[in-house]
Amino acid sequence: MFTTEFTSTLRSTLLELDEAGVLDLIQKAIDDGAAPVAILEEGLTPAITEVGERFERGELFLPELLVSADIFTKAIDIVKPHLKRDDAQDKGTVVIGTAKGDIHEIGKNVVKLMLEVAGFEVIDLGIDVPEQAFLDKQQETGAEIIAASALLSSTMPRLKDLVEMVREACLPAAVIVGGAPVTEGLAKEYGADGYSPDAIGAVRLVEGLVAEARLRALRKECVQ
Amino acid sequence: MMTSKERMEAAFRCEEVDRVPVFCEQGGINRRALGITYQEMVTDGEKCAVTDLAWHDLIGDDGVGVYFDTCVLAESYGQPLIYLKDEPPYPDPERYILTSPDGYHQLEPIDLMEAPRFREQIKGIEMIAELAGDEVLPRTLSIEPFVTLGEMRGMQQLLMDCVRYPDDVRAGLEAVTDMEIEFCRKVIDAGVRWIMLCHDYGNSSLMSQKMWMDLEGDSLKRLHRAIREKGCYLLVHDCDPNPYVDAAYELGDFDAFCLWSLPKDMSDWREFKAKYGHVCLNGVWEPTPLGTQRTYDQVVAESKQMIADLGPTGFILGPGCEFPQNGSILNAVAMVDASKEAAGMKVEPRRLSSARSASH
Repeated sequence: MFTTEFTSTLRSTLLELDEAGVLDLIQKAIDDGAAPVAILEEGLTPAITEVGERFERGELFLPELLVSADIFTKAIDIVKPHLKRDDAQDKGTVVIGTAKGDIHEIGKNVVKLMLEVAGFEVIDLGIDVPEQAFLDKQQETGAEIIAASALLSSTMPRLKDLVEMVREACLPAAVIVGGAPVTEGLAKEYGADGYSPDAIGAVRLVEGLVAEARLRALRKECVQ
Repeated sequence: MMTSKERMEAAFRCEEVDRVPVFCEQGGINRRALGITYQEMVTDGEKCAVTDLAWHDLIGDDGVGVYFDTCVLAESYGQPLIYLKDEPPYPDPERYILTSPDGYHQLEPIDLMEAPRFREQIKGIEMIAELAGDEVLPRTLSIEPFVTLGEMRGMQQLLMDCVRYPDDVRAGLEAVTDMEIEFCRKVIDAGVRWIMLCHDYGNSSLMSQKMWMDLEGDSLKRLHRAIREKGCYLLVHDCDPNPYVDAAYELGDFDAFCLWSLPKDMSDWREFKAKYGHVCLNGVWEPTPLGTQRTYDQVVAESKQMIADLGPTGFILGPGCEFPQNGSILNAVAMVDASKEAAGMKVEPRRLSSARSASH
């Protein structure tokens, strides 16, 4: 039912930013009885991943990425009602938001999209997020990662406050930071567990941190 | 010794200077000179003018003027803003006035003098021109039409519209450009002698060079020309990585670049200078390290190296984007001291600098 030709057509249709074309293909696949998980894993995910890679290589830019993401989200909405509960993978959970006082969210939205594409559950707290809200949501969900960004040099120090509050509360979560004025050196100075200058790098960073955390938990269980 | 006015004019013309001028691009940190809130500074032209004059007296830099924030024109169109005590105002994301692509076609000309904050800005400029017009070259900031449109539509939505509804976006840009031109003519009439124009969308962080030029190229050419025709110097600014400098250069009718990031195809600033040495360059400090990570001594040393590499003619030392408002004021002083030292001028001993350097 799910063919290489379909995957290839879906990929090229998404790269052409043809919204109606993508949504028709997905609806047709569902109507023809294709497995919803296969539509996601063999169709939509490789296509949007390629969009992300082209963006990283500078072959596509933010407007095209945002439109692709919008089409991708609409396509997912068609597939979602057909997914069974056990179809979902547990790759990890990320709580994401912009620093308190910062309303610049495009970068955060791109990171969120890329993390969702990679299979993470992302809880988006939005913009201008108080540090305590990150902590509360982590405790409520058990998220492995807290991701925060700042675009202003004046809101950047709030990232440091967030790291310190997470440490003081002894939360079992890694904190990663980003945003235009943030540098790797500054992230280290703030005591963050990771930094990425871009969205694709953030996905790799989160994958690594979640894998490390799970390995540590596994070893702890073995020792006990 | 030259006045700030003479120094800046000579730099724009790539002529000899007594020392390299310094422009701190102070858009928020200067309010600390008087201890006023951001909201006070951007709603009261006189306070804004006095703040920048106080900053000039305190620091000794060369870029004096009245600059509120990027939202003055959007607000004049009726876009509601959210005002904060410690940050610049921003458009209310729940109440963008352009709610669909049709909105781009409905932007009617407005009477800027009916807009309270624009009137305040004019008042502040007139005050600086009257109080210090003989010594300083009054400046202000203007923004490319894309920025204003994004403030009324939402930046993310505007970027998507650029793909889906390019003709509608172009219509909106044309309408806003007419008002940007009006804005610039009025501030020049009030006494502004150089304008920093932000090309915020002209870099790979936001869109391809092709899209930028296809959509906004003609509007920017009109805007550049209108500013220069009024006898005003024009400094074009891009505050993101990988600026499209070649495309900006092709627009013509400007006097200087303001940058902190090199274009993608260049490896260092000397290479930039070799290619564009006939155009004045302002920068090239990266704002965050300059304001928050370097010591006074480091800023002096690195600034002197920049002057050696890029000056003394056709160069204005400073951050290639706004000086962090929570940054070290002493590091602003350090740039002026570096400029004086590089020119063999006397520099006052800075006892505090040693203390700060030691603390790092």
